[in-house]
Amino acid sequence: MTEPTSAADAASFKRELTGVIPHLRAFARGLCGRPDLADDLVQETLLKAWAAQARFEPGTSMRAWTFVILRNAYLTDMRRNRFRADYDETVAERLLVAPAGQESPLHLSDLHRALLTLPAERREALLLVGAGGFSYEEAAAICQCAVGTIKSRVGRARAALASMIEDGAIPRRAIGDAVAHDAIMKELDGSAHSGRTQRGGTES
Amino acid sequence: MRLLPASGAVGRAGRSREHLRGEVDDKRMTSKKAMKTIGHQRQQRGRQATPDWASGLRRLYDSVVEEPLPDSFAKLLDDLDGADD
Repeated sequence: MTEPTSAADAASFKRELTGVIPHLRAFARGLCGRPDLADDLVQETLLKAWAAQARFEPGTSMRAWTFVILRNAYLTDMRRNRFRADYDETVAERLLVAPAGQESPLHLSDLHRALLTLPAERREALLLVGAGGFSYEEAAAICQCAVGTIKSRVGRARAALASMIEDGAIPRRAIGDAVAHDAIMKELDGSAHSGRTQRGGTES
Repeated sequence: MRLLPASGAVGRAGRSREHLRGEVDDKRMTSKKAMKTIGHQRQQRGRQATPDWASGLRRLYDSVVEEPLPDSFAKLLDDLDGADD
């Protein structure tokens, strides 16, 4: 870990950090559902990343580095019950996943709602690999767990979504929020007891 | 999908031993074969359903990436940058 030694390093850090903001917003939106809370989370992440910039190693992935910070901030906020897994229909509601004309097209909002019902650890694993395009190895580094654990979480998340979609069992909005929140809090409680999550990471 | 190569291995199970060597576990050819076949059929049903919505995850993500960025983020970084000087 080296201090940014020159104005050029500092400028490059700022440029790279600026470049990943859209990705931070997408990851945060996927995690917590509501755009306003997601953007709050991104702001918090930027503040923490800026304060920790001496620990960023130039040449490594700014996206992966900031995702660790965002993830830790999210989990901390979740424990404080600041976020409820919630979903704003306004933006994604009109977008379709399936091509027009196909029967019972799946809305992105349906997919997002289904995603929000997953336990937090599976949701983030699927977001990183299935949406963010990270490799299993990169996702494991971000979540500070074994590669096999990530593979298992992604597999379970995909299976759960596939089954919800095939059965047409995607929860309605109000139910989805309650189910998601309960699932997340249960998962967090379980993690806290076994000490698997939150080992400080980059943000401390 | 990353899971697809496994279904290819199932297809190879019926070929000669030469093909199997080093690729497919011989245990698949034992009496457990029937059970495994059922398991694979189930998995494959899941996999076949995947492409319909898996691209949606990517689109969900990309749709946010492509949104115009509120000015507040650039302003925050400019403020932080200014405070450092």
